[in-house]
Amino acid sequence: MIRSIAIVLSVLASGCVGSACLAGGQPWLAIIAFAIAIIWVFGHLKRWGWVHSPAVLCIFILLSLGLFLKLSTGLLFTSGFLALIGWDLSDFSSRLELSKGEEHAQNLIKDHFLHLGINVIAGVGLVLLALNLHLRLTLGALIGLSILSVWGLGRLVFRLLKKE
Amino acid sequence: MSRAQFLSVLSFLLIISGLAVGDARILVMGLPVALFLLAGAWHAPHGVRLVADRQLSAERIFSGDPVTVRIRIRNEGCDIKELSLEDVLPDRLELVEGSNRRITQLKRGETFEWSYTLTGKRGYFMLHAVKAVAREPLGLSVSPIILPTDGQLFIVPPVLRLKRISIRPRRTRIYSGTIPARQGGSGVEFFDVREYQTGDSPRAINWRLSARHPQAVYSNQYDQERVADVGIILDGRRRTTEFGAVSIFEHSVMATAALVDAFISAGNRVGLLFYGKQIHWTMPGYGKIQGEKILHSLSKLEPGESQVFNELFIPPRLFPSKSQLVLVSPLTPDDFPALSGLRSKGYSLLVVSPDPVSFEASSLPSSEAVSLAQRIIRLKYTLFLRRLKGIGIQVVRWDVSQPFESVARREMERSPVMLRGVSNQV
Repeated sequence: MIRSIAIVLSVLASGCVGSACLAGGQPWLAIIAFAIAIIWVFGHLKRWGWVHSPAVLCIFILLSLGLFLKLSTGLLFTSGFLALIGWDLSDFSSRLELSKGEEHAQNLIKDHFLHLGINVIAGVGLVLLALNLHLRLTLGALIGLSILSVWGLGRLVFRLLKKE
Repeated sequence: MSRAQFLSVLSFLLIISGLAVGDARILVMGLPVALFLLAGAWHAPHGVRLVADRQLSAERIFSGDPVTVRIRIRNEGCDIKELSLEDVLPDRLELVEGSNRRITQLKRGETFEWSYTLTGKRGYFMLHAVKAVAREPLGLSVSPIILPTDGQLFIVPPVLRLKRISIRPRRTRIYSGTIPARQGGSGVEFFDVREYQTGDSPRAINWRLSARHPQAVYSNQYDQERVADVGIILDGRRRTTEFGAVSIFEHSVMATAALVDAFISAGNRVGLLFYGKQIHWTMPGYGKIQGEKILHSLSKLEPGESQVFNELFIPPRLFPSKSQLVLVSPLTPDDFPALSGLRSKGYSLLVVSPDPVSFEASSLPSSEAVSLAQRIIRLKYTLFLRRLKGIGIQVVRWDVSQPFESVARREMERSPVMLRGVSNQV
């Protein structure tokens, strides 16, 4: 079930990028998105765990290129979110195969979807806020903020990886 | 690359490329990715403390028998939203039912228990670790832990029941058993006659002889039956047991287990010498406990490279000269000096040779060249066995495609006097 959702999300994510590219007159980028979709779905069906991350990376590269080329922001952002959710669910479904259909599995799925939902809603809210909020900052403040965000992100990553 | 690492790379790439091209929207796309990372760090399990306990339905099983493993994990630390568990199994164990891996949630103070069934081939296995990975619900923060547990599993070779193995060493021990001691007394087999002595049973009087010699009365004496010292030598040298990808060693082990059981059941004092990677002794002893000790030793043995067989040394303190030695080996012609040396020291020697020629030939494609090579090697092997017979060694050739019980019944249940060396198959 979760794997099926992940497959649908993968197709939708690639489809959104492809549509944005087609609508923006970039057929070659749309073909690349289509190829990514095929490989990603094939990876799902063959249960190749390694294929999900490169597929998401490719989608994000296409997405950034699309944003740079001033293609449809809505479709590209939707694609980014769908790709992230699809990536998360494909990994979760492979982990869940170990549960052997026990009652704990239902709680695991419930908890996972709850946290994923909160994250996605918060992410959408943050993105909307960022896109609509126009602050006038000096170059110094911008540089300071960038350094601060990179430092904060670095700390976060360090904390996460320390446990592994 | 872990999930957290991947998201970190992705978010940094978005930030850097956004800053590089000066497009705020690319920067903004990095926000949900960073939010994922933040959520992972926020819900990361802190102070994970788990205790694992393992129970096995049996610590000793025969090869191929199932054993149920029950694992209990108790959480003595924080709540864990997602816990992956894996009981680390050695390669040679196989799952029969259930799984050695699980995923669950475990709150503080809760216990999770699961069981599965496994089986395996001969060996000694230490099961001393359960691998646990605690994650937060998004699976970004990962805390792997190794949980120590107790557990050992002996998978001993199958023991074939042999009725009787007829050996006749020149030296026996004082306890009564089943081996003719070459001494007159009470027993079953006729041994000698002597002049009647006070205390002899009237049933022992040899009336026919007494009638022929009326000056005295004679009574029959029977061969006393005693137990003996039996040293079993198992050959685990790679050059004699392994033929390319296939090995005859498991057959040798199975034959050894059957012989040990038969000799122990007959009350003999049995010891085992393994001659493989290193020399390993199981000291001689009597009874079921000794049988179990030897089976445990057999479960651990692996073939290995070793020095030549000439260095084989039997400590006389353990197996005095004239006692019985049983060698289980596919043999090579180089072994002749060592075997004749043992014979010259007075040991009675029984050689059980799992036939390496037919074993190797069965794994090769049939062709004229193979058939010719097989004939040549068969001739050499047969001549070698006849040489052994010539120096008074009892040889039993075992074609491993035949059941060992039937070969043992045919070749070893009869008296060695009747056998006099190599079987009629050779």
